[in-house]
Order: sequence, then C-alpha cells, then structure tokens
Amino acid sequence: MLPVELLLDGITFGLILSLLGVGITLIFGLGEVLNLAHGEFVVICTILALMFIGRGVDVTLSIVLSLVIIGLIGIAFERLLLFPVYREKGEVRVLMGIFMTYGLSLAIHSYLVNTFPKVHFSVRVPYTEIVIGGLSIRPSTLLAAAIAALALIALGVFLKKTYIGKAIRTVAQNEVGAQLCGVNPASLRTLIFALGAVMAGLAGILYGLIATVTATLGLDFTTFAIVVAIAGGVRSVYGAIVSGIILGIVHAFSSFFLGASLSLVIFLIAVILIVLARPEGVLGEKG
Amino acid sequence: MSNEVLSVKNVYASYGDFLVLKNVSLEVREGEIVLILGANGAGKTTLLKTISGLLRPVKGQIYFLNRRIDGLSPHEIVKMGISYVPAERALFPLMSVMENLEMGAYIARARKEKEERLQFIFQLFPVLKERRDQLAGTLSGGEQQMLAIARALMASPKLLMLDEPSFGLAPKLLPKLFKAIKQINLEGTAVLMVEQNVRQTLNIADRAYVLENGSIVLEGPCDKIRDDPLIKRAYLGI
Amino acid sequence: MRKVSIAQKLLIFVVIFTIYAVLPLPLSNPYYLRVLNLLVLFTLFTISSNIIFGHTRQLFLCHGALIGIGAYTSVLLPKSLAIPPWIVIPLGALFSACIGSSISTISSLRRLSIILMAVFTLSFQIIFGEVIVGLREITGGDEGLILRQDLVQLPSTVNRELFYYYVFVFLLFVSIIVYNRIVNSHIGVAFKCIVEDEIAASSVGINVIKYKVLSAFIGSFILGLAGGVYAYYNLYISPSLFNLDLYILVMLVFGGMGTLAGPLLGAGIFTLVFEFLRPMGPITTLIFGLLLIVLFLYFREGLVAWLRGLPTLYRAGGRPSVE
Repeated sequence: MLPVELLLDGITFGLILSLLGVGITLIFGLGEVLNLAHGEFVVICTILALMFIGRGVDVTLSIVLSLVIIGLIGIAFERLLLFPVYREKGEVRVLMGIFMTYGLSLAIHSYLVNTFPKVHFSVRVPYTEIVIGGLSIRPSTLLAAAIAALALIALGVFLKKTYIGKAIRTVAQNEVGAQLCGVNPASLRTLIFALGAVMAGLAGILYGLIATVTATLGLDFTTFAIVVAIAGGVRSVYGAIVSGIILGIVHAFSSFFLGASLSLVIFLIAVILIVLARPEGVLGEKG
Repeated sequence: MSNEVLSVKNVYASYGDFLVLKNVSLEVREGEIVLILGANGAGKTTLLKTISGLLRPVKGQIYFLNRRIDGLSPHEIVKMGISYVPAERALFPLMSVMENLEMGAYIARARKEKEERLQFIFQLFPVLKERRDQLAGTLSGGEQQMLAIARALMASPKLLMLDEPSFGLAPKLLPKLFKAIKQINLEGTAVLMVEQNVRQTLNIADRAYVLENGSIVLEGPCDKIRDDPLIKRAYLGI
Repeated sequence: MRKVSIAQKLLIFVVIFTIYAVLPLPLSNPYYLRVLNLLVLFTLFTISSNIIFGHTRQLFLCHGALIGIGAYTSVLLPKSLAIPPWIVIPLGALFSACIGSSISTISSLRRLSIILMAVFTLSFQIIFGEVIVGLREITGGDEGLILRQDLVQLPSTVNRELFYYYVFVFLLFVSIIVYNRIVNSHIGVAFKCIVEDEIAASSVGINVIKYKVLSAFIGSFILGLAGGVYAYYNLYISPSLFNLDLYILVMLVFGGMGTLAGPLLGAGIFTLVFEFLRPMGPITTLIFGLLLIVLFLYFREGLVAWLRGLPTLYRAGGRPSVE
C-alpha cells in the first residue's frame, strides 16, 4: 500500500474520529459531563439502521431515520438521566457525570452484546476501486471522508454564524453571562447532546463504509472519542477536529506496520503522553 | 402601587446553609434610580442575585410589573425585562465586543431593535464602537465594565440592575460612568444599583436603602438620608 | 462527632473479627464458602479503593489492573526465577504499589483534573488488558493461565476453601488495622484536609502530593497483595477477570466512602447481590450499571451515613429544617 493511500485512509478514519471527538467536546464544554456512553450511541444507531433495512426500507432512508431516532434517544437520555447530574456543581458534577455515564455505558454495552451478538453493520458502495494517477482509491473511503468533512464544516458554520450556535459558545465560556442574556442553558445542553448523539451515529454509519460495526465496539468507540477530545483540549471543537485527523493518520500507519491491537496500545500511550505533556490539549483551552 | 416596577416583599435568602437576607423589602418605581448601600458581606450582591433569578429566595415574594418572578429561571426574568450586570461582569472573553453585544440582544424582543440599540450604545460608550472587533477578554477594566452594561442594555430592559459598576475603575472614569447611568435612566430604564462609592452615587440616585447584616436598616430619598450616621457606617463599613 | 473511647473501639474490633471468624463455620457447601471468599476479597478491594478514592479523591479507574498486576506477577515470577510464591506475592504487591503510586505521582505533579485522571487510569486499565493479551506466550493471553502449583500443599483433610478463607480474613484484619491506624493518625487528618480543600490544605503546609502518593501506595499494595493470593486461590487467571472497577466503585459508594464500616458493608451486601444475580448471566452488568446510577442519584452518602442519620430521624421526628 502506498503511503499516500495510507494517508487517505488515515484522514478518512481521522475525520470519523473527529465526528466522535467533537461530540464529547461539546457535551463536556457545556455541561461538564464526560459522556462515557458515547460509543454506545454509535452502535445503537447502526443497529437501528439495520433494523429498518431488514424491514425492507430503502438504505438511505433507513440511515436518515436511524440518525433522527438516535438524536431523539440522545434527548431522552439527557433529560431523564442527566438532570440529577446538572443539579450539582463543580467537581461533584464531573464525578457524578462520570459515574452515571460509566454505569450506563456498561449497562447498555452488556445489553447490546447480548441481544445483538451477530450484528454486523457495513455499507457497500457499487464501485470497489477507482484508479487516479497510479493511486488505488476506494470510493467508499472517499464518500465517508466527504460526508464527514461536510458534517464538520456544517457544524463549524452552525457554531460560528447562527444565533443558537453563538449561544452554545457563550454557555461554554460563561454560563452565568449566557443566562443573563436570556439564554436557557438547559435546553441548549439537550440540543448539544442530541447533536453529539447524531454525530456519533453518523460516525458509525460512515465507519460502516470503511469497516464493520459490531455490537462489541461500543467501548472502543467511546475510548477513541474521549481520546480525541482530550488530545484536542477537552473544550476546543477545532482542537477535537485537528487531533482527530492527526490521530487517524497515526492509527492508519501504526495499524499497517504494527498490527491492530498493538496500534490501540500505541494510540492510548500517545494520548497518555499528550495528557501528561500538555493537559490543556494539543491546541490549548479554547471556547 | 401602580407605578412600581419592582417590588421585593419580605424576602429571605441563603447562600448554602447561611441565611444572608432577612426579611428584606424594597421597591423601585418607574423612572427611578435606587441605590443599595452597605458594608461588605451585608448581602447586597445576594439581593441582586435573588432578584435576577440566580438564587431562589427561601421565603418571600418578588414582583416585577405586577407579575411574580421569584422562583423563575434567570433567562425567563431577562425576557420579562430585567437585565443584571453582576460584579464579575460575566462577559464572553473569547468573543468580540460586537458578538458580546449581539448576544445581549439574544431574546426575541431585542433582536428586532438590535440596530437601534447599537446606535444608542455606541453614542453612550464610543470606545466600544472603536473596539468592536476586539476580543472582550483583552479589554481594560473600564472598557469591560462599559461592555457589560452595554450588553445588558441591548435587551431594552425596563429595569437595569448594576452590582458595583465602579469597582476596579480608575477614579477619573467614574463621573463619566455615572453620567452614562443617569442618561440610561433618563431614557426610560429604572436602575437598581449596588454601590460602595456612596458620595458620588447619592448625587445621581433618587432613593437609597442601607443593608446591614442582611436587613434593611435605613431607607429614604437620597437628599434626606445623606447625612444620616448609618450612611457613614455603610460607607466606612464600621 | 461522637467520641469513641479506646475500650469501645477495641470492643468493636473484637466483634468484627469474631463475626468474620465464625461466619464460615456453619457452612459446609463449598459453593457458599466460595461466595464468602469472594466477599472477603471484594472487601479488601473496596478498602483499598476507600483509601485511594474515599480519602484522597483520586479517581482510579484501574483497580482491576492493579489487582491483575499483583496476580500475574506472583504467578509469572516463580516460573522464571525459582522463588517460592510466599515471597513473590509480597513482591507482586510491591510492584502494584509502585505502579499505583507512580500513577498518583504523575497525576498530582501534572495537576490532572478528575476527568483527565479518569481517562488516564481508564487508559491504563485498557492497556493492561491489551498487554496481557498481546504477550500471550508469557501470559497465556485471552485464555489465561492455569496454575499447577498451589501456595501450600494442604493435607487432604483440610478444606481448601476454608483455608483460603482464613488467609483472606487474615489479610482483611491486617488491612483494617492498618486503615484504622492511618485514619486516626496525622495522616488521617491530612487526608481529611485534602478531601475538604486541597489548596487550603497545601497552604497550611500539608504536602498534598506526598499524602496522595502514600494513599495510592498503600491502597495499591493491598490490591496487589489480594490479587496475588487470589491467583493461587483460584488457580486460574485471565485478563477478563480483572474488569472489576465498576463493582468496586458501587460497593464503595453504597457502603460509604471515608468510613471503616462502609467497605465492609458495601462489599458484603453487594457480593451477595452479585451472586444472587449471577444466574441471570450477562444481564448482571446491566443491572450493576443501573444500580450505580440509582445509587448515585439517591444514596450518594452511602449506607453508613444513612444508618447514622436514623437515630436523628427517630428522635426529632423528622429532618431539621431552616428556620
């Protein structure tokens, strides 16, 4: 495999990682909750898509429906389960958030692995390969990268230009100030959670384009998501995007040369090193 | 009764387990500037926070334009027409002056009037217009104070609450600040202000309350109570 | 705080020790004895977690790895070097203690927030699992290691489960005594200050890092020790046995952090709950996950605090309220 092809694979995987990491960053930035159950949303969404496809619904429609539903599930999750977390402040809130989402992730994970042990989600695209100038590229990889990039750009525009997007940024920077401007932080937190869930779901769908999603992968996806978010400086959306791409490239190369499980270890070690070297993250704390 | 904008009745409020406000009652009438004076720790900030919704009173009622507001969330109270500028200002440091001001006009009612309000604010605080694209975190203390007040004004509030607006400002800026507050008031906004700077503010305000250990110990029109010994106590904190 | 006199304390200890000592005697069924053994084991784990998290707020999500390190060390070391297990188990515990205190040192020096510490230790736990699986020629990988040599060659008349029970209970007693001595010494005072407010603590001259690392050392030592003995008790170890953090945390929170009785009660009750749920299979994790949530919602202070609050409820006829 040519290095450029590896690079493209890495960027694609990296963009998917960014989708995951950005969700964690936003949820943490607004509510100080580290969502350890994030990866389970990925799996749930793909399972939903499979259920629709299994009932004969058109593939694209299934995907759209599953994304909508995962968003709704995210809202339910946030409203029902996280409100006691938000009642607390500061360190207790962070702790509670960790414990709540930790417990939930293990509960959901064991349920999924049990109920859907044989589930595999992967999407096939008509053409297997196109050759451009000596490089062999899979259209599925290109498609995944393109959709992920579009989603991230749309998110960026949303946060920068729209009133709600700006309101979200204000809650992250100064919640009291935001409230005094008439912003309702609680409803924005729900919105962000839903958005995070949808992006996680999208990440799962796109991952199905380049590999396969199984029910056991929930914990892996959560690990990746958190790692990317933390490397990006747990409050910075741009940091999460950049670190996602970088870590994706690192993963592609280390997987190829060292094998998948060793590369997971390297991934984790790399992140530990980043956490220790710069607790503020690769790009530093930002709004 | 009918021209009362804000009416606080027998309010008790606590900070954690500690009861800070004890049976506090006050009013702000239309077009007034009302002062709250008192030593540090008397409960002045707690009072404003309770009115703004950031704290919930343990007992008592608060009425704004004849509607009960105690127990509402801060953002709902903003929508009703009270804007609060806390002592710590609560600006958005990574956003520009312009973006901060735009956020001040977040509520639906204010978005329509955004342009007009911006005009008014730039006339009031010209330095904000100069620095409109600068990040709020990089402004000087005085400029931040002006931005905080300006942002609160973007919502066209009927009542503006200020917590120690003069705090940390260079003394030569104070007359300008208080003149601006007077101008805001003349334009139709009632003002409820907590201040340590007793002398200068007594000149521009209509009435004042003195808070001591969580209770009102003196109230009245400014020119009448100016020489009361309790004022001196509040001023010197003895 | 009620002052407990030395005589009262001694009495409490004697009672606790007696209870544990006589617990297994009426039981003859080896299954029940095994459950008791797990109970004592988890109590040890929870006491460690109490020291590390309950007393110095260091969120370790890698208790399992520290236990596993003790277990694997005490199994693998005698294989390569001809050292009897008796000596290796404390060495394994020492190794765990070194790793635990390193984690604590690094986290404290870098001033990692709770989130970063959670991620750091969680990563460590995952890495531990991956490393064991990866080094499968040495560690047996996913399938684990079966031990051929027991700790002690027991005569056939002695009930093995019972023997190990008393070994574990011995470790438990030692841990309880150590815990009690620490908590009632200047170290315990330092711990209290650190939990209240780290910055205030350091400003009155308490070397926060030293005490945090000390608590991590002691807690990890106990974890490693228990892990080492467990390996010989179970005669089988594998990486999947060491994903225990969820259960330990539940037991600690439910029992009551920062108390002596907390881990005893929490681990005691929840080991039984766990055994009761076991026939339901993998749903157990689901239920424990949900339990953790419910506990944190309604029972965060723990059983001990709830029990302490009962007399007040009884006496005053209700909770005291703000005037």
